[in-house]
Amino acid sequence: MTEFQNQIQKIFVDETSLKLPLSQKILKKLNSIPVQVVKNEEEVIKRYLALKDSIGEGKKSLWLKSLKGDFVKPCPCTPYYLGCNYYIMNTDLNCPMDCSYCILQHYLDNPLMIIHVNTDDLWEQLDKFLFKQRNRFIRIGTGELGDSLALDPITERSKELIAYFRGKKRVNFELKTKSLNIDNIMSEEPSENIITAWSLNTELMAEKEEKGAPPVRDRIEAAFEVQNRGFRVAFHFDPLILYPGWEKGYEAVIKRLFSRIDPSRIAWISLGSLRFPKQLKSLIRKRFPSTKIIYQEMIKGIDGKLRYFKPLRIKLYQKIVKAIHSYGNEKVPLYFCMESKEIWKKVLNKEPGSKEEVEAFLSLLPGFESTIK
Amino acid sequence: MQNMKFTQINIDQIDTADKRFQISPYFSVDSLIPSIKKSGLLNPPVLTKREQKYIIVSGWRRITACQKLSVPLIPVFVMPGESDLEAFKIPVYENLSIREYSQIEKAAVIRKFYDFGEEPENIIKKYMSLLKIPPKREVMEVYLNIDGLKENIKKTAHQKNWSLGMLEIMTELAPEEAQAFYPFMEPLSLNKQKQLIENLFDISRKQDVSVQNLLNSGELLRIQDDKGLNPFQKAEKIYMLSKKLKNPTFNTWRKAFEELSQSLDLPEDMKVIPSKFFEGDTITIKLDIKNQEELKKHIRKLKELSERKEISLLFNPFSHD
Repeated sequence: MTEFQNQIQKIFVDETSLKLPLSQKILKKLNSIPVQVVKNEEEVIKRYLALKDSIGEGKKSLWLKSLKGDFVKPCPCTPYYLGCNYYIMNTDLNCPMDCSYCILQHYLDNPLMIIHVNTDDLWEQLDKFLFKQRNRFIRIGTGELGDSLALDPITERSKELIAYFRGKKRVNFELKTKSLNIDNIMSEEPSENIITAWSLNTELMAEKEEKGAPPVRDRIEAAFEVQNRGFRVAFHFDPLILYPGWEKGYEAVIKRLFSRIDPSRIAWISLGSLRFPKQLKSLIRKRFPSTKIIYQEMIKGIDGKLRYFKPLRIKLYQKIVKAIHSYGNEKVPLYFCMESKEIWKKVLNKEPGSKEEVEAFLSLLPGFESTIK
Repeated sequence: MQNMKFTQINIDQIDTADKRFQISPYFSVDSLIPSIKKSGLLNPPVLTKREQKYIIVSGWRRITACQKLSVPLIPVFVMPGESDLEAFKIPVYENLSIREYSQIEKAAVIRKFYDFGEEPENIIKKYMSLLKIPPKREVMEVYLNIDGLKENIKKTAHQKNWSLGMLEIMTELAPEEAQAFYPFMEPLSLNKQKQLIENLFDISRKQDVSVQNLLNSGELLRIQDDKGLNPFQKAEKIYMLSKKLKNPTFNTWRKAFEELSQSLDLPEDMKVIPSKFFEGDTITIKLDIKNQEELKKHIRKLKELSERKEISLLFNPFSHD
């Protein structure tokens, strides 16, 4: 288990959310940590923003609050590139791990780790959302603006989510993590539509660029256990990073992955290369002065984000796909996160016409054939 | 203006060496002199007294213009003996009501508030928002560092209106590194200055060498030593080389595309343009057409081109990688 709760030094609770069951559960579990009841949200945020490393400091504090807006949103993806029609659930925001490349450093205005505790609203909103979308497949997950399992030992959210989604055959629900916190999942009965996914990188990149995250081999072991329990698993090679020795590094991880994981139980593997808005670059320089990953050959993509020059991306993806095909097999569904149709064609020899087609391809249960050309 | 005393004083009584409240030394009085000549000083500067001497709180430009015109007596407001922190708020707000601050001036304002003892939390909450700066501690630290840059760099940055991003990189360089850029900055346009700073910074960090060592080696050094080049030509060449060194693969492909399009022997008024950074999968053919005859001529040329084998490489310049 990865005990991120040990790094929490302070808990904030919104006055209006104090009595909610999830707040009470968390406060009971973390009863030795000082608690402050929040009446003025802005004051707390301003206080953190006035700290020298507000992002780093925010990772030591937990904020229990109610989400006033929508829990379920379409994944923002990126303009001009091909999306996958994924939906995100903003149950928790931010993450106790501190990856140098993390977009959340730039994306979130509030540096604290937030747990949205108004669970009743979540179920109500999910019911309405799934009813509206009842005629299509849905891929939905909690790991976009936070890690799905990092704080699961204190929230036990995964158990409730698994219970909610179990049996909803048109919905593939994904928990996405870098952590090893699988105890709650292991205690649940498996279901084909519940997928636990791990973000993977090379061991070297994990050690250098993913501060606080467990080694990749341990993540693969956690996936092995979850798969043995009867769940399907997924993997995200994102961000793929170019560095001297990347070819051997990724090959080693893929080799290890398929030495432990049954390819037929992999729901999908996504590939995405390092990309970030330009504004994040200076933040990375300051927070991670020894990193070199931001100095590789990058161009400004059509979406305005910095990304590797296309031939470099193609080479990177081709090597990874070749390794997956060689150590695993060619049936594992692969897809790109935020890439062009041209890359799909050149690397995977697939031509999805739209994000709906990508979604349909990834929503297939084992044994079905893809409709993508 | 309450508690301020309006009076006239002899301009020689002002200690202009004390610049504690000065936000920017980079001003010109040329446009103000004719106005003072015609109508006198209509807007009195604000002074205060420190150790029996009058010092300027606000009105550096006006006082400098009057000095140039040898105006003996000038109207002024004299502030009571407020703290430096309180007095400094006068020029900050006054200037804000008139114009936008440059990044260098913003840095000076933040530095002075900090040095006058204002709490960092107050600087962030009150003044950074006022200066249209994101109210974050990390950003405040950047501005404090910007104020510490060497004077010649600050002057160029103010005059050329450098962005925060450019200045941020300068603060992350060792002072000698920042200085090493300087000779190549002046002749370049703002956009090229920005790219040169970013390119050389990234290359030096990737290769783990200082910017001066980078500039003092290989082709970059040869350009500097080339006696046949003037400073502008040197700066341009160094800028172009920095682009190549920063993006070698892109540069190779750009060159390959250029060679391919040249081999097509196109008329001068027909151009083949790749997508930006080759990121898209289309090419653009640009035609300059004056009349119907030219249109027909171009259509014939396009038809001929469409039959040629080389044209397919333009659509897929990476295929022979």
